[in-house]
Amino acid sequence: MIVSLLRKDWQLLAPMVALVTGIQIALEIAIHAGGLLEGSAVALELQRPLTIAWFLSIAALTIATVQVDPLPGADQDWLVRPIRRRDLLTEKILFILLTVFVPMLLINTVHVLAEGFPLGAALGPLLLKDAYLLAFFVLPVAALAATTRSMTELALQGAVLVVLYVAGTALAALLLAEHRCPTCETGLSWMEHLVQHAVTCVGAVVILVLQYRRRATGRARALAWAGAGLLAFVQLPWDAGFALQRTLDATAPSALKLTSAPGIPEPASAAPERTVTGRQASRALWRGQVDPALEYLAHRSGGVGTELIEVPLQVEGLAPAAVLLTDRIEVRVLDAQGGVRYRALLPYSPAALKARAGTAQEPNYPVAQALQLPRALLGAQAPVVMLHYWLTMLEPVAEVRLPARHGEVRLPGVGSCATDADAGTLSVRCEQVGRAPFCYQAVLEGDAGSAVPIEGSKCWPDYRPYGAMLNALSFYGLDLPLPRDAHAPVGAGLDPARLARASVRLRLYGNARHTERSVRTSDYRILE
Amino acid sequence: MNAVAAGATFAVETHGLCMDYGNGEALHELELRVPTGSVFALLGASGAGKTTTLKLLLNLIAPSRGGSRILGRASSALCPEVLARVGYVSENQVLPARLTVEQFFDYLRPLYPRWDPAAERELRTRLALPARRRLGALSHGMRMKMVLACALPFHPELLVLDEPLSGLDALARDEIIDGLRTRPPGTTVLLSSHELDEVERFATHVAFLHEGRLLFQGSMSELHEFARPLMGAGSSPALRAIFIAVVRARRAA
Repeated sequence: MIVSLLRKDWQLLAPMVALVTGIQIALEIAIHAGGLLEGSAVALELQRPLTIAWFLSIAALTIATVQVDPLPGADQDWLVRPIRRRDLLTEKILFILLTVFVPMLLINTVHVLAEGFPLGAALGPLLLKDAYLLAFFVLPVAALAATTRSMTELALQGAVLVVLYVAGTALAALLLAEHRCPTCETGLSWMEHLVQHAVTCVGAVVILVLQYRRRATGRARALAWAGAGLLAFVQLPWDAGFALQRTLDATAPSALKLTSAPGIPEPASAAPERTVTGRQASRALWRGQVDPALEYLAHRSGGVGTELIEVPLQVEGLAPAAVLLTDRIEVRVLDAQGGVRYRALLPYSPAALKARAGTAQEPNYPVAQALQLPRALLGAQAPVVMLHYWLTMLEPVAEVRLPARHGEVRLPGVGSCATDADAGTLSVRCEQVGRAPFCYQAVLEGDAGSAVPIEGSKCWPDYRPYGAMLNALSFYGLDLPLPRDAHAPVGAGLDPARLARASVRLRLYGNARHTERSVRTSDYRILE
Repeated sequence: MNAVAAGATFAVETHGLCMDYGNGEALHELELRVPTGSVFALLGASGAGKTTTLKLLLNLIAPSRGGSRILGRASSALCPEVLARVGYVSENQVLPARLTVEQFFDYLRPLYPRWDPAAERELRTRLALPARRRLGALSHGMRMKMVLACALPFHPELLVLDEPLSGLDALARDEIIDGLRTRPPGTTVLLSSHELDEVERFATHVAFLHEGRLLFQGSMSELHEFARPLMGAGSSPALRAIFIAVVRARRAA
């Protein structure tokens, strides 16, 4: 019976299957031709539209597969045929697996092999991508299609779900305020997404079972509406998320110490970040940069009735060459009796507890924690400030050197990397099958003609234990600004001969260790 | 009026079957009995509840109250094994338009354990179905013949036809009626129609439905017996005249 249904759906949908496969092939060719550096400009331009087309075509094929034998209504031919509903559902899933996922797996495998990665290393990420797409995209789309019988109905139903989701998100923002999405914009955000995706997937499975077992369209639609409205309320508490992350990354406890250090003078590198002035914000806006303007507005609104203070601290026991990331800070101001007068949460702070942002630092160093506190709290009697830190330490896990110009290297832990330089920039680009590093540093070494080391780093915490979900290949890299040769004309950049003698040292960080530390102090400085 | 003989076996039974679409009852306390082996015509004007009844019987829609059984099985629990013994023909049946006639038969064949390829060939030849034409490109009459041809090769014990003659020309009607007349012995046919003159040619039993209520059910002879007081003694009126008289009597009551 399933074979007969499969053959029927194939006869009906073969042109669409060919289109989806064609788009998948074109996308992989575009990614391959785009290359790491100096790839085809046309291929690079095509990647975004092809990615959109890829998503849309898979969604369209999924919808068409389900709606070939629609579940709502009473006039469909299949309803009066001796077809088990269970077999019909199995056939639909099997058809999508055979027409979308098997070709996808083959095409991606060919692509990954063409990029020079071994099949053994690629198979896991490739299967993960397929599983992710099936569970979190195809099943929800199929569930939506199962509650409708035509594209028009589906568009209406989809519009209702979008409206409900937006309303739910607005309501969540209103009701939960600062407690909304505690893990968002942190290294734990993958858990929040995974939980929301899992809820969506479970909802989709329930809808599919409801529809294919009972054809309960009304109840299935109500469930989808409720799910869309309530999805924004699915939250992962911070403490639970951090504890889970610590369990997942299970590594040895850290010797890190964080103490109040009132005697330590203010370190130059740890000075509070300079506030954007109104004039700078206006100029930035003219250049199309919104962030400085937002920062200015935030400072203006936050600055009313507040005081900027800094708490001198001493970091000790950090492993050599390690990177310390501050995932979250809880600030409490206590009165003389120990009662909490003020409480605030500071999200991921790239600059906090760092001697120099993004780069490895010494094991022991002073640092100043800048805080904006209500002025009313800072009376004649200095209050007690309690700082609780959720921290992550990363250590170097791989290091590779490659020529600064036209360099190429391939290593299991690093992936495939290439370098190239134009007049003012040296570009380092890498691709890795599966998980790419989220924290890395590049240093220009050798005869680069600069008195100060030229280095750059990227470190945006992302502690998920798996790689990119929608592409088996992950890309990473950064640009280093090149010093201009003193004798060269303006815009000519570094002397090519000197650049040819230089090399780039790329260091990747990993082995995340998560820990918590608290500091209680009355010693702080009020900044002007 | 219920003129069904006691002791008969029924291919179809309903018990207090009600259907309310939200704008009034489309069907009210229906107690229908379709004797096995009969050609049972469910007659009524448009909106009388005929199609609703057939859809309820095949579990295509769920009743507001009451229940029904076909071939001894509750409609609400129809399984593929029962559906493999039931042929259904409806003018509203939505077929996969992009499949050809040939492909549709290829799809159906493995679904029915009792599919008879010789019967299929004979039907396709007799009804002159074009093998390579897409179902979406068939005319209304050709489409109805196609649906009928798909409902017969597995020798169904129960054939349910919803307005099978609606919108067909005289030739197509004759071909479909011929198809019904040549059904295997023992097959029960339950059809809904408002084409009373045509139905009179082959029905053995009739039921009158009016505004969701059953006015009469029984054999043709029982119908004439039932109609005598209304039509006058000695006459042998046509089915259409009896139906009109029964409905008028109902309205007067």
